[in-house]
Amino acid sequence: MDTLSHLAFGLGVALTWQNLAYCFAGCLLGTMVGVLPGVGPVTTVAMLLPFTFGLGPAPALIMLAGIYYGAQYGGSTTAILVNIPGESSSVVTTIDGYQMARNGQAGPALGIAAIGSFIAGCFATLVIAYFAPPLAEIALNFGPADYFSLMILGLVASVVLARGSLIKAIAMVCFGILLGLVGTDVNSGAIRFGFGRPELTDGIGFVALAMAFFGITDVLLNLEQNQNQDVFAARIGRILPSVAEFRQCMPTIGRSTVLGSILGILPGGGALLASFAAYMLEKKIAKPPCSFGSGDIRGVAAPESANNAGAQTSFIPMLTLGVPSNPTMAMMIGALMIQGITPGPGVMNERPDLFWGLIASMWVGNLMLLVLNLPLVGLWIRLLSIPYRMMFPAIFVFCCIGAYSVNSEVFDIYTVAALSGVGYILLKLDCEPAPMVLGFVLGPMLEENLRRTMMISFGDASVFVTRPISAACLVATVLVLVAMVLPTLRQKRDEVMVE
Amino acid sequence: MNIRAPKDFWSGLFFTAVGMFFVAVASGYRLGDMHRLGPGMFPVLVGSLMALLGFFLAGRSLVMDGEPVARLHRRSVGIGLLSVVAFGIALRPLGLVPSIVILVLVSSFAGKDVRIIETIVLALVLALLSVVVFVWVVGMEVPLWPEW
Repeated sequence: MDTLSHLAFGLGVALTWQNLAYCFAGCLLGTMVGVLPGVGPVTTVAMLLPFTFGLGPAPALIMLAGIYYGAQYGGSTTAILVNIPGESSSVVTTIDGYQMARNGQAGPALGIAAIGSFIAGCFATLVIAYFAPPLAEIALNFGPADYFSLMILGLVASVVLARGSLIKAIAMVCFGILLGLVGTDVNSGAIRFGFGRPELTDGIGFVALAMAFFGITDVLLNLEQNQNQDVFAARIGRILPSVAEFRQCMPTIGRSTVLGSILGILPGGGALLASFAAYMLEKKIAKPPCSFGSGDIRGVAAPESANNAGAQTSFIPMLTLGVPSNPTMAMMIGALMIQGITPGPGVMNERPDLFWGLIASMWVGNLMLLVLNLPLVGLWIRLLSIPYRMMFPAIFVFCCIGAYSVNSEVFDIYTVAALSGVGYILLKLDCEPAPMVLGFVLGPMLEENLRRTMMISFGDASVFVTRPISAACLVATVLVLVAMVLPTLRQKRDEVMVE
Repeated sequence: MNIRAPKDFWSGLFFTAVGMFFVAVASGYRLGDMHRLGPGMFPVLVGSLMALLGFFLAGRSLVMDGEPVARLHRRSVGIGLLSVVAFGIALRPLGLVPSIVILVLVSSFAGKDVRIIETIVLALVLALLSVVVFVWVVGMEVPLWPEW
């Protein structure tokens, strides 16, 4: 009952004309940008981040959340029609979705993706409403040692999900942490790694970093690939799936939603893991007449429901613990910090309007997307035919202006250029940017909590293993690491990723 | 010495170098003790870990086989980064509109086929859009035109 009254309060916040407008604008812009081939949700959120600076914290977060779901919806449209996954989380959708489009079934594929996502979104909203407050309650008792260990766990878990080498991913986390430490040290007031540049006293701009690693670097890589795409837009046909298809998909949507919601909460989880796991599960338990891989509608319903559920529940660790589980959540934290709010368990009590307003707006946003996406499919398809040679200069423009707009500082533009170069070379060496960005966001918090822990314990590092919560996190971290080193498990992960 | 895993070798070298650089700079800051960590302690710890991992990667690349480094597309990357720098240089003296035109024109050469007229139209459209969205709606502070 309590939760319901909180939700009602949240709806009151989300349904003000102003917030409704921002939610709508976010969903619309997110879908519009996300639908562009080669522009994934992370890039979309990074590029549109500056739009929210002028707003208050609640509208900004509501709009960003809308952008995020919108980008995910848009990404699945691209995955189905062009066979280009905007982000790894819609890789799975391309398998059956594109086949459906080739079979002239693009309409139902788009339809079931939207409907599945909507159902998943509604369920995940409730999950957040019920699980986030108790978790925040628990987190209020966390000491600095617990936080430190929890962040380590989060970082390691997210590293495990990065493709490729574990060592490289951990080294990238370290790189991110070090870049995050640039600037004035809050504790001693000392300026670290400033090299005499006054622009660096406030540290490296988060927006500049995000633009470089998810905007410009992305473009540079895309330019190397062949840009010829076959758009199966001619034959969309009916969009609403038939009753039979719907009945076939309902159990799939249900299972995938629950699975996605659970996986989204885990540190390092989120949309990517959820969509892979749901697809694998459905493929395994489907009864014989199944055509997974060659255009089975359940092969679209499963990853789309799961990734939307996972995308949404990954807000839980971000909102309650202040620990991002993926780069998008890292960006949300970045946005909150720019607004002057430190994410963590306190937010729920200090800013209930922000907390419950965001949760309620998730549901509103999902409804909007359903209404927006199905009738506007024709428009989105037209966007698909924009050639990349016109799109990438636009991405450059948005990234450069975006980086500049944070502080009206030209230096930030040069930062973008420098980090883009580094990011490009690192990607060429198979070093993924995601762990780095998480390290960048968590770095200062890690240091602060380490410092406080040592201060309280008078320099005795054993508190990390004597405090139960901290010890549990560290044990889990070790288990995750050991599991990754075992060759069989590793092989399995790579198999899943390849498939 | 034979490099058998070039990707690991070069990334290892990068991590070692960057890690050691940060350690070297940070050891100039106060380290403090275990009870009161100074501003230098954490960076030294993280930097050392990074350098160690890089060292391990580079070492392992001498005994374990791995993929070669894919071709670097120097031209498109160079032009792309150049266009960003050019935007930065142009922004204050020339204003937003000319800078965007420069950015779009230069960056378009990073692509495979360049269509000059189309690009000019695109540049003007993007400039207009940016002025409306960033300057009028978001309220970014930037000169639009050169100040005479």
